[in-house]
Amino acid sequence: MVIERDELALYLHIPFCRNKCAYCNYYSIRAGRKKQALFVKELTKEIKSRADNLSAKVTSIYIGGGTPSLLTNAFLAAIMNSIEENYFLAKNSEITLEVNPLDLQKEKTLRDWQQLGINRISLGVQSLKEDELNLLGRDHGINEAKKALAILAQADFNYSVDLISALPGQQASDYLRSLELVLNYSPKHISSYNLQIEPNTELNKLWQTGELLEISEEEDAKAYEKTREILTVKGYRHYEISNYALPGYSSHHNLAYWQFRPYAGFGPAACSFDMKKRRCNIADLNIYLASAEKESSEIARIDFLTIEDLIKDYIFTGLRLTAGISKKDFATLFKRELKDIYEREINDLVGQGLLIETPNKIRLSNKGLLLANQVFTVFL
Amino acid sequence: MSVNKIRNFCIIAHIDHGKSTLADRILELTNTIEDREMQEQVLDNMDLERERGITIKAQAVSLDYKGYRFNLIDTPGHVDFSYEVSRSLAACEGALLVIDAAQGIEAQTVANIYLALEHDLEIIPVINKIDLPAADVKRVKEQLLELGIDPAEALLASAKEGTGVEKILDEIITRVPPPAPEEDLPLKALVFDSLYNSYQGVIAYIRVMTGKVVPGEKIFLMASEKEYEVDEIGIFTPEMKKTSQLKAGEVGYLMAGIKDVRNCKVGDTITTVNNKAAEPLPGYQDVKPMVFSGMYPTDNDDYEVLKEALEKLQLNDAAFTFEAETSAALGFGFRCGFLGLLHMEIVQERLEREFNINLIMTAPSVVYQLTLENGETKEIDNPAEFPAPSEISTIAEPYVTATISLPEDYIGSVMELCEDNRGQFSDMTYIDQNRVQLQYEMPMSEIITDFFNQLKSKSRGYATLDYEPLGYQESDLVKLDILVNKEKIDALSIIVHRDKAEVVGRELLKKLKDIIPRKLFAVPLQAAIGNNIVAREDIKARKKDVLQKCYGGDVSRKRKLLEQQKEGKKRMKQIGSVDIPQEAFLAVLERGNGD
Repeated sequence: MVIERDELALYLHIPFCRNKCAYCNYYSIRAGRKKQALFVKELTKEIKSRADNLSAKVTSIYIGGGTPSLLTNAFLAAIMNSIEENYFLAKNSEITLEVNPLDLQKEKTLRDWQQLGINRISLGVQSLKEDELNLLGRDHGINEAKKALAILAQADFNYSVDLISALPGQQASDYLRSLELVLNYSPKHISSYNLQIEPNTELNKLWQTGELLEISEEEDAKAYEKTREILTVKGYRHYEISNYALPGYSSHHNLAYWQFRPYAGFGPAACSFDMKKRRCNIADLNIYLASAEKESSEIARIDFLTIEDLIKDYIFTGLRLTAGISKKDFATLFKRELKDIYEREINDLVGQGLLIETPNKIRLSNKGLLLANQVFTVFL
Repeated sequence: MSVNKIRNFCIIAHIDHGKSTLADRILELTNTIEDREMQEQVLDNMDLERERGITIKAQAVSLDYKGYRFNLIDTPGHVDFSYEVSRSLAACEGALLVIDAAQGIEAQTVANIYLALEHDLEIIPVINKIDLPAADVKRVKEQLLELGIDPAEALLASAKEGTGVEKILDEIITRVPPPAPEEDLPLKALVFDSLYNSYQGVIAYIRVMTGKVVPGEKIFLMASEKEYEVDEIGIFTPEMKKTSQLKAGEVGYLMAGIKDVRNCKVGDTITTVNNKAAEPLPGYQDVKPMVFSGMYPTDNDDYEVLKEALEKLQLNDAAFTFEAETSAALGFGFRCGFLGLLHMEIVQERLEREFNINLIMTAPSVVYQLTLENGETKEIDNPAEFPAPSEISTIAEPYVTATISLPEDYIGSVMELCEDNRGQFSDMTYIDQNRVQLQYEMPMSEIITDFFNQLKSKSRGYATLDYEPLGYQESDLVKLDILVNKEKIDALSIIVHRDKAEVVGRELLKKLKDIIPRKLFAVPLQAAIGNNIVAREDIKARKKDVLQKCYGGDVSRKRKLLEQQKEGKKRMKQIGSVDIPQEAFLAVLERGNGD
C-alpha cells in the first residue's frame, strides 16, 4: 500500500458533554448554548486562520470530543461550512461524527447529519449491560443504545461501535454478550478497547480507595482472543490492535495516526502533526475563547520532535497495525534501514515469539498483539 | 561562680508533650537567646529533629537566672536512645517531668521517671498544655500519686503561651539541690554526648563530677584508654563559649584533638593523666547495636559514595556500625547495626537526604546466638549467614520487656496482638481509672517487625510502647528462605519461629506475588526451611499488556507512558530473569494481621 503523506486528516475537538463518564479523561465540560455558540465561532476562526499553512488535500474529517452529537445542526453546519470554504476537501472524504446514543433516537436526526455531509458515525455504546453502563458512568441505558443501533442498521449506514472490556469484576463472557448483541445490528466497524484507569477520573478515585473489584488480566486476554475469533468468522478484519472492520470500512481517519500521515486538530486539547512537530492546543475552553488571534504560543504547546522521537513514534504506532511496518517505507521516510538501528531488538523479539519478521516487514505476532507494550518498550 | 549557685537539670517528657517548647520559653525568659535569633525548638538542631518533633542528640545550654547558673540538658526522647538518656540524667541533680495535661502520663515517661529516681534526681512535675480544652489536671495528679510522686508539688504551665514558666525557674532554684562541692578530688568528668565536626574534631559534652579541668591539661579517657591534651573548654550559651576552666558541678564542652567519636563514647569518664581517678564513674556501657540490616545502593556504581557517606555518619554516631558484606542477590553493600528501628530510620533518611543516595535496605534482624552441633558458638545478625538446620543445635534470641500504656478499651485487642507476637504476659497495672499499663516479655525480633504500627492501629494511636533488653532466651527458630524462580534470594531470608514459619511464608509469598511484576513466563515463588518447601505461590505469566486507544495527540503522551514503564524496570534489581523491586525486601516487615 502506498501511503499518501500529502493528504491531511482534520480532527475537531468539541469539548462539551452532558455528563462526564467515570473512565474518561479527555477534555470536556458542561456548557449551555451560549457558550457553545462562542466556541463554534472561535473554532471556525481557528479553522480559517490555520488554513494558510495547511494546503494539503483533506481526505478525512473526524468530529470528536466530548460529545459533538449534542451540537445543534446549525452549529455543525457552521463548522462544516468553514472547512469547505477554507480547505480542499477530496470528493470521497470520510466524515465521521462521534455520537452518544441519547442524541440518536430518531431517524430524522441521522438524515439531518447526512445532509450536512456526515457519512460515518462512531457510536459510543461501550456495553449492553445496564450495570456496566452504570459503573462506567454513562448517561444512557441499553435501550437508548439499541434504539440508536437500530436506526443506523436500518439505514445501512457506515458506522462504528465502541465497546469497552476489562471492567472491574467483569468476566470475558459478560463482555462477549455485549459484543454478540451489537453484532445483531451489523456495524461496519468495531473498536474494542480494554478499560484503562486514567488519572483524574471518577473510576480512578474508586480504584484508589479499593472499592472496585479486580480487573482480571486473564479474563481480559480471553475476551480479546474470543473477540478476534468471533469477528473474524463474521468477516471483520482485525486491522489494528483494538479495531475491526468489514472489507473497505477501515477508519481512514484513524489510519492517519498509525500510518504516520499528517493531521490537523482544532479546538481545545486537539493535536496536530506535520511530520516534524506535534502541536497540542491547551485543554481549557476559556483560554481557547480568550485568545481570539490564535497566536499558537498562547493556546498551544508545541513539541518539536527529534528524528529519534519520530522513529520511536513511527514504530510503536505502526506496529499497532496488524499489517505491521514496511521496511521499505521506513527507509524511504527516515533514510536509514530499520535493521541498522534495531537488529538486535528485532531478533530478540522474534526469538520470544512476539514479533514476526518477513523480508519486507515486521509485525506483531498473535501473542505480540496481547503483549504489545512489552514490544514497544524495547524500541524506546 | 560558687557551686552553690549551680543547678543542673534535664527535662523528661514524652514526644509531643511540649519539652522543646518549654525549653524555648526558658531560653527566652532568661534572655539566653535574643528574640530575633529565636527559631522554634532551638535545641533540636537537625532538620530531622525539628520535622519529627523528637530530640535525637542530647544538647546542653547554660543560662543565667537571678544570679544562678542553670545548666539545662535536653535528652533524647525515644527508647532507642535510653542509654543516652540515662547518661544525661547522670549529669543532673534535678529533672522537670513534663506531662501533657490532655494526654496524661505515657509508658515511656514512666520508664524515665524510674530512671530519674534511680539517679536520685529531684523531680519537679510540670503539668503542661493546661490551655488545651481537653486538659484534665485532676487526672494527671491522680496518675502522679499512683507513681509515688506528691501531686501537691506539681506545677501548672502552658509553655506555648508562656504561663507558669517563671514559677518553674524559681522552683528549680529552691528545689533542685546544688552539685556537691568536690573540686579537690581527682578529675572525673562524665561524657554525656559527643559530636564531630571536621574543623574541631570531637566535641565532648561533659559534666564535671569531681575535680576540675583546664586547657593544656593531659587527660585520660578511662573506657577507651586514650590520652589527649585539652585544646579548649567552654560552655554552651547555646553557642560554644570558651572558658578558662570547668570545675566540679559544671557542664560544658571539651575539645582535645580527638579524631574519632568512638574514642570518646557516651558514658566514658575523663580524668587527668597526672592525677588519675581510682575508678571511673559508674554506669558506663559499651552500647551495642541491637538491630542489623543490609544497605545496598540501588545503583551499584554508588557503592563508593555510600561507603564515604557511612563513614561520615559514623564520625558523629558511635552507636552506628557498618561493615562490608556481599549478597548474591544485591551485590556489594554493608551490614549496618543500629540501636533500634528509629535509629535505623534516621540513618536511612539522613543518607537519602544529606548524601542523596538511593538505598535498598533488607529487613532488619536482631543478633542471634547459635550453638552448633560441633559445640561452637556463634553470633549471627544476618539470616543469610545461618548455617544449615542440621548443623545447628540451639538458637537463642534477644528478649525485651515491653511496657505498653493504653486506654483500657483496647486491652483485649492489644493483648491478642502481643500474644500473636509470642509475648508472655507478665504484669498489668492501672495508671488511672481508664489507662492501663501492660508488661510483656517478648522476642525483640517481633518488636522490630511492624509491631509498633500494628499496636498503633489496634489502639487507634493511643497506645505507647517502651521496651528494655531482658537478655537471651532459647527459641525454636528456623531460617525461612525465599526462592524466586527456583533461585534462593539470600537478601529475602528471615528467621521465624517454627510454629509461625508456614503462615509467615504464605503471607510473604502473597505479598511478593503482588509486588514482583509479572513476566512473559510464569514465576514460581517458594518459601523453604532447608530443603523443605512450606509454601508456594505462582506469579502468573503476563497475558495482556497493551495500551489501548492511541490516537492523535495521545501519541506523545502514550510514548511517555511507555518510556515510564521502561524506566520503572531499570529501578529494580534484576535477579536472574526476574525484576525485584525494592518493596520486596521490606515486605517481610509488614506482616499484617494474619488475615
